[in-house]
Amino acid sequence: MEEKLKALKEQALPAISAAGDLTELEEIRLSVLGKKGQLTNVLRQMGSLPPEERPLMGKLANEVRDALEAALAERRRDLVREEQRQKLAQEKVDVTLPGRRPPRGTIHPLSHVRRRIEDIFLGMGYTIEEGPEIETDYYNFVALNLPKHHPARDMQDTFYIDEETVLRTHTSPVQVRTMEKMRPAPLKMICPGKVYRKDDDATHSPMFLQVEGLVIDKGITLADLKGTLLLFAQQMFGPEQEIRLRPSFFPFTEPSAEVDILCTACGGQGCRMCGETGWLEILGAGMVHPQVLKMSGYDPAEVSGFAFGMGIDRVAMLVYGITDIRHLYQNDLRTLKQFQGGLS
Amino acid sequence: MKISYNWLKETLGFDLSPQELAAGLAAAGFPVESIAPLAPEITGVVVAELLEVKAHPNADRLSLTKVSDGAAIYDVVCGAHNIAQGDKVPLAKIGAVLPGNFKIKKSKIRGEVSEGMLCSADELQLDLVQDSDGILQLPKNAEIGRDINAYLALDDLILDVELTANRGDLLSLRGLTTEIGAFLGKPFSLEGPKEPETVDWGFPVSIETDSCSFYTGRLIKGVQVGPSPLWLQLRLLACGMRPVNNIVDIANLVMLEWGQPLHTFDADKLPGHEITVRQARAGETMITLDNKERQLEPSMMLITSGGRPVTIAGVMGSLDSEVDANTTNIFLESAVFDASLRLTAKALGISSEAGSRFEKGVDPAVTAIASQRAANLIRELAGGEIGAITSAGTDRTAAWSIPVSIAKINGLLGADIPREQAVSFLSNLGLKVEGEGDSLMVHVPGRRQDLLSWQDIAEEVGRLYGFDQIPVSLPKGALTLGMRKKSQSLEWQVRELLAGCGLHEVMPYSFISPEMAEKSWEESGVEISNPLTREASIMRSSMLPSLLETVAYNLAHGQDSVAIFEVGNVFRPEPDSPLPSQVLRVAGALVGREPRHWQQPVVSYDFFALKGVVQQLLLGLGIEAEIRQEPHRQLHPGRCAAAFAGNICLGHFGQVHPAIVAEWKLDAEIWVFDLDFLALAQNTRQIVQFIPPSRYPAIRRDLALETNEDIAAGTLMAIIREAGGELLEEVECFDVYTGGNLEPGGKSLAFSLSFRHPERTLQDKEVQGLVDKIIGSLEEGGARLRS
Ligand SMILES: [Zn+2]
Repeated sequence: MEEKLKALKEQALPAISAAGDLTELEEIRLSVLGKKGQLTNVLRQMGSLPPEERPLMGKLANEVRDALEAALAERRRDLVREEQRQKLAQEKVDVTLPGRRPPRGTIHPLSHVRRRIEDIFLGMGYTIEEGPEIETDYYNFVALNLPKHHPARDMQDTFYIDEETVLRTHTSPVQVRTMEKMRPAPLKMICPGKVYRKDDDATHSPMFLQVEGLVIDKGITLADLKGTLLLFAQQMFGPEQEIRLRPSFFPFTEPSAEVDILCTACGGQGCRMCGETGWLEILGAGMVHPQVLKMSGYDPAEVSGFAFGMGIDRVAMLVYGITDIRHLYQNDLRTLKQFQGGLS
Repeated sequence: MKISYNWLKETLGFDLSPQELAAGLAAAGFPVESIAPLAPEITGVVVAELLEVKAHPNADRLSLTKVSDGAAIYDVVCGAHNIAQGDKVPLAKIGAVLPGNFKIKKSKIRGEVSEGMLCSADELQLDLVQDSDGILQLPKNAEIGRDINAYLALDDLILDVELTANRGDLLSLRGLTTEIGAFLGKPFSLEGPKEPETVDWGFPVSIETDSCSFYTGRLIKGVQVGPSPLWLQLRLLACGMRPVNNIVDIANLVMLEWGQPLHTFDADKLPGHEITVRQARAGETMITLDNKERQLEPSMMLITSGGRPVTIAGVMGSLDSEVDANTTNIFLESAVFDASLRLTAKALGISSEAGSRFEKGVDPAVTAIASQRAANLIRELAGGEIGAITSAGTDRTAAWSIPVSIAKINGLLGADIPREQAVSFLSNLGLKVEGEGDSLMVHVPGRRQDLLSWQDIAEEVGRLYGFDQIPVSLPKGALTLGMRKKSQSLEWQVRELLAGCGLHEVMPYSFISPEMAEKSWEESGVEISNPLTREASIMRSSMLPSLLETVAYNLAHGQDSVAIFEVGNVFRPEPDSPLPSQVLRVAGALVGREPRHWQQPVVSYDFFALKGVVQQLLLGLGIEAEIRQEPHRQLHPGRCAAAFAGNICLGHFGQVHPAIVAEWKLDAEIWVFDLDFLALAQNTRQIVQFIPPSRYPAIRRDLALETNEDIAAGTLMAIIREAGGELLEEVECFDVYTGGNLEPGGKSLAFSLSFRHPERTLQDKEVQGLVDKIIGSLEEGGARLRS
């Protein structure tokens, strides 16, 4: 009997590992371990053994059964794996084919830049104010210390609707309107929006986007203006940025300055884009003119303020490397589709 | 303002290079736009003396000359006739290079050797005025052998300084040298002329207008008009002005020196022996120097003589009082006119150096000085006897003083500039400063009409201190909330949502052309009275023309599909309000087809693509809106709808009327939406009232209905909802079918209904009862169950 058990094991093990699929394996299991299988047959002969041999033989029989069951399980696992592997291989797709996605449009580059500028100043505690694009002569000029026939009005070639109505040439009238509303409370605002000037070339568009800022409080200084603009420049153009203020003249600020940033192309080394100076002019700024404060109901003896203004287009052109402003208003889909993603 | 570098340098005696000077001016607030050479490059040309001039044996028109440069004698053939022995002339020696890369070589002209060339002003490319055409005559005392560049100072540079509108005082050598001196820490003041000896001929002048505060004049008799000496002509050229004749050139030079415009008349051509300054009278006319007859308006100020206008004050003289070659007696005017002449100059379309100075303010303190300086120069260069100055009005400026404190100055600048330093800055600018301790009293001279408040004084201190020296800080006030207002946040949400629907944001001009308005069937917009072009002359009253133009542009540039949106303002005239109305719109257009995909058939944009975008936007904003068939004059009558939130119309959408599309010469179905941003913003649901999900199962029933084609799906849905009541959780229309075996004019719709009770499991019987009720209502509404 011992011989038979050993022979059974010797025969069955190679058959199990040679089984080609799960059906064949099941057939082998039934023929070896099934109720009518070969092991059962051998064990039936147990009764014919002397009683002292039975436990030993029983132990041997269990060992053979365990070995066969282990072999069956292992083979089954292998076969299942193989079957799965084949199935998965058949299910392969070409991952490089286009996905079925909802169509994706784009937000205008000027909107991206405008939002970024807004976010920087929101982070510094500014509010965002808006106002009419068609303005009265008073809010666009007079309240900004530019009375009728002032020669400095020539600095901004103006579109008129009639004697008293203009297309705003800057967003400053929003500042005046906000000052009138808020006086005498402190003020910290920016006003982005469309403005209009009679100008049309590679760097000037008759309609463009501007953002201006205004802070009024006790003890506001030119140094505060410098610090604010430096922070802005570093957030907008990179932490290495520097700014430079050059004295200038605007009727609504005193002192006034033109503000340069390090050239975004050469980083200040000097190149063709910056005319070898290393600097690019991006905005005008200054301390709010006492006359402007007075006209809007603030007492220049009590408070002071700073104001600044820049072309969002100018910033966008620097950020995106656009050399002709007209690309921004052409609305050519080949241009617009390039502006996927945001600006942060 | 253009000014000679050498002139500044000689006057101030600095040793700055042109680039250093330009950098300094830029730091002071006056960037130098360009630095241009006075003359093109010339090499190998020297001052030479003519030793001998004789006729060329083989050519009548040529001469043979012998010239000396002090080192050697040269034989030169010359074609000009204005030469004589003893003349000093420019000699281009062999090897010289004249402008235009013209190289001088040894040559033979009609058999005679020429060892160089005698040069005319033209050949040196100098825009000089001379007695006669021909060789440039140099002064008799010119030192022979000297390089012509050095002798004529042709190496001078023309600086074009960009001045600010408030600094009229810098439009002169006097102003610029004062300013540069202050920046160099070397205060400077231009020296005045000597008092001339004068004869009193008497020539009364009077002022009858408020626009002229001071008028002076003097007669100068017996002058000889002719070209100016070379130095004067070259100086004018180096300041960007063209020489004319000695009288005009002197007037211009003195204006450049002192900033005081001067005018000269031929005294013998003046109709009367007097001058009156007054406003023009209606109907008066005058022929100006440029030979144009001008209609004069009462707003224009005139210089008149014997009752007749002889100058439009400060703007342009009359043709018949002009100084010409035969003039011997002149009347020299030096006066102060106010900025009102700017409007006159603008109205007449005349811009002049004099006008731009009067506009920005002339210092009356130099009016008489300039007259003296010019008279001295005229006597020196044109001869004549100088008459005594006669004047009207006053040269007294309302000199003013500004009290200011060092604390205030530093408070505004955010700096810590010591008193002594601040005071020395101001004194270097020529301002007189008095006062003790922290308080200053600054006395402002008439030339600095821009200094009016203590803040102006602070700016001067800051400028001289250097803006780059001012420290950096941030405002120290109370903490403020930096946050978008609700509508401002929504604007960005709208952009994100529409970009998420595949639309690209555009930003067209707000102004459109009358043609665009007309072919879009626009109502009247707001007209610009001085447009850049007719194409951009109307502020749009709706978004449609801009959308159509953008669509047309992109179709013409190779796109087969366009999906765009814009957030922008439209404008309407508002007769009873100071300003036109301004309404923010959200609009977009779809043309062509959806982006293709390899797994799906091509889908053209249609009404439902458009509606899908509008619905997606409304859903994203949390707006519950009802979509209704609603006509719009610019849309296809059968393919347009409006979105309503309650009674409020949020806007329209649909197919652009094919007749409009035809007027635009486009061949496409154009689908547009145009929504009112404010209405959207006012109807968004910000807070959701939460309902816990039911734990009980839903029961689903499908209904296939047959109905007349005229009955809208929305109507049937409304009937189903109404009849289904609270237990009907969801209704979905999942199939629409026409044709086939249906009766003509009929259609079939399939709805899926889902019922659920919040607190218990629904019984089949209950649901069947509701379904029967729904079918009953539908039958009343004209639909029946398909068998
Ligand atoms: Zn650069």
